[in-house]
Amino acid sequence: MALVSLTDNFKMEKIERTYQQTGFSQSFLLKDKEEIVKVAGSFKSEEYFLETITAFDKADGIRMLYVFNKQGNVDRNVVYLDAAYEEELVSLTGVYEAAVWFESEVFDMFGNTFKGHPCLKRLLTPEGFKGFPLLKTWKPEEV
Amino acid sequence: METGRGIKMGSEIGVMKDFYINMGPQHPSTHGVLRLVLKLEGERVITSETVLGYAHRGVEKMAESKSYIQMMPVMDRFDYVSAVLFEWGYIGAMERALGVVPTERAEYIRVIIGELNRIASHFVWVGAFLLDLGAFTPLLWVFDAREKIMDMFEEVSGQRMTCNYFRVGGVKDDITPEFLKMCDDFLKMIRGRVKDTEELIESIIFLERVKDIGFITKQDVINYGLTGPVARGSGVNYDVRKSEPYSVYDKIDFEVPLEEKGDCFARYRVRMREIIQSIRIIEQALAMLPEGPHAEKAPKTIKLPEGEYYYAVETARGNLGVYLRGDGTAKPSRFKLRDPAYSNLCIIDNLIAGHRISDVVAILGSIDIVVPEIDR
Repeated sequence: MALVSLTDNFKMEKIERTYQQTGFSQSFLLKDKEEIVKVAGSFKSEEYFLETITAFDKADGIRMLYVFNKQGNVDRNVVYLDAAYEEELVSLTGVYEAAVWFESEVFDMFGNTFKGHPCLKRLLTPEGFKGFPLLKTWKPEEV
Repeated sequence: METGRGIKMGSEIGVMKDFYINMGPQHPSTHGVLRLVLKLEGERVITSETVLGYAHRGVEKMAESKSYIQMMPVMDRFDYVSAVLFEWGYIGAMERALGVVPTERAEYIRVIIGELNRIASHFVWVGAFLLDLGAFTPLLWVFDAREKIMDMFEEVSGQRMTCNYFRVGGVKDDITPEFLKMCDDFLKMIRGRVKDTEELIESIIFLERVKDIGFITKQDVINYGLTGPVARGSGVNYDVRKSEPYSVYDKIDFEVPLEEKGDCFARYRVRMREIIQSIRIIEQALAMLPEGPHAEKAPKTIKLPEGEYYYAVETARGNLGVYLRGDGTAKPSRFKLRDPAYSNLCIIDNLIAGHRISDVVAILGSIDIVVPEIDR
């Protein structure tokens, strides 16, 4: 499988943990943020689908999760990517259409924008909403 | 000619350009509060834009201030039509984190309850789908059958829709002899009911409305991350129960119904055939149901060790992923749902472009959405 060579082709390190522990077959931490498009491209050429894009607040920035999975037999790969708060990242919408809503949701909840996204806007929160609710610094009183 | 209001007669009024219509947020066929902004040319949809968020309750944020146990009943309130299957995903993620293995009996009970819920969900879908298309009678037929499933849920869990039945290590209560009798009666009746419903529905009027519209290709399925009956209606053999067997699904013999065509009718056929497969699964699980305790001893307060836990289940709408990030305390530091209807709906704008406005109702219905699950 071509994906074995992911760590050779891209600047990424493999995180050692098992499917039984976490539900992820393989986990990678990508060093170069720009390369995520090529990584996604190589997943897509192997007929993986984009299961989700999400993120979490790790106190000194955002860690993005790109989850790719195979339809026939489970091979759930997660690619992590560290970003600063409200940093502009590269959009995957050119590779997967599914990324349009996933990235909009990340923007809505965490505030990171995506270069090349066709219609980045708040997707779930109401019109005129301020702040990014899933950041740990956000408190409900701000509403 | 000037009309006095600054509008020139004849030149622009005659040809209506850029005519927009808001379908929703309170439209019967959006099943909740979803808005489609349709740009029309006559009866035909040129472009569309989906507006979400009318039922957004911020559950992912709320989860961070609630304990793991307090979140359990909330899991029923996303997809209230197949609530038990959502509980399964959440409980599964916690069991993975804690290393708890549910008892053998609990696994089979879960399969029985889960598949009953899948049948109920597909029945509700087919009733509501037909209602969208203008047929009222099928709704009453399917709700009659669903009512019997709801009665069974009430018997085992005390609740009809939001059961809160699954627990870490098993289920809340053991199934009762009364439940087994009800189940037996239900299984005797249900195959005939599915056949009757199909015969009632599949008239020429229905076929004309749903055939050859809303085509989804295999490439779309990968591109948009579609799962569940929507993917299987396009001939993609993807079912989490087969690809990533959880619980005891690997010990049970069942097929994954596939339809090749990828139109609205194919998605309808997949769901009707899935009901039959669910019946087969329940029959086998009842025959294989072992004796023993219905739940493993689990800790009173749940504290997930540091790390990430992902668990996927096949709900009635597709692949549900529950992502939990524990930090050693009794509250998750991140809770995320990869919900199937959200991913399935993201194709809708491209899918309905070029169709007539009456087809929009059929296509949206064939996706099978539950809005509280999409908006969270």
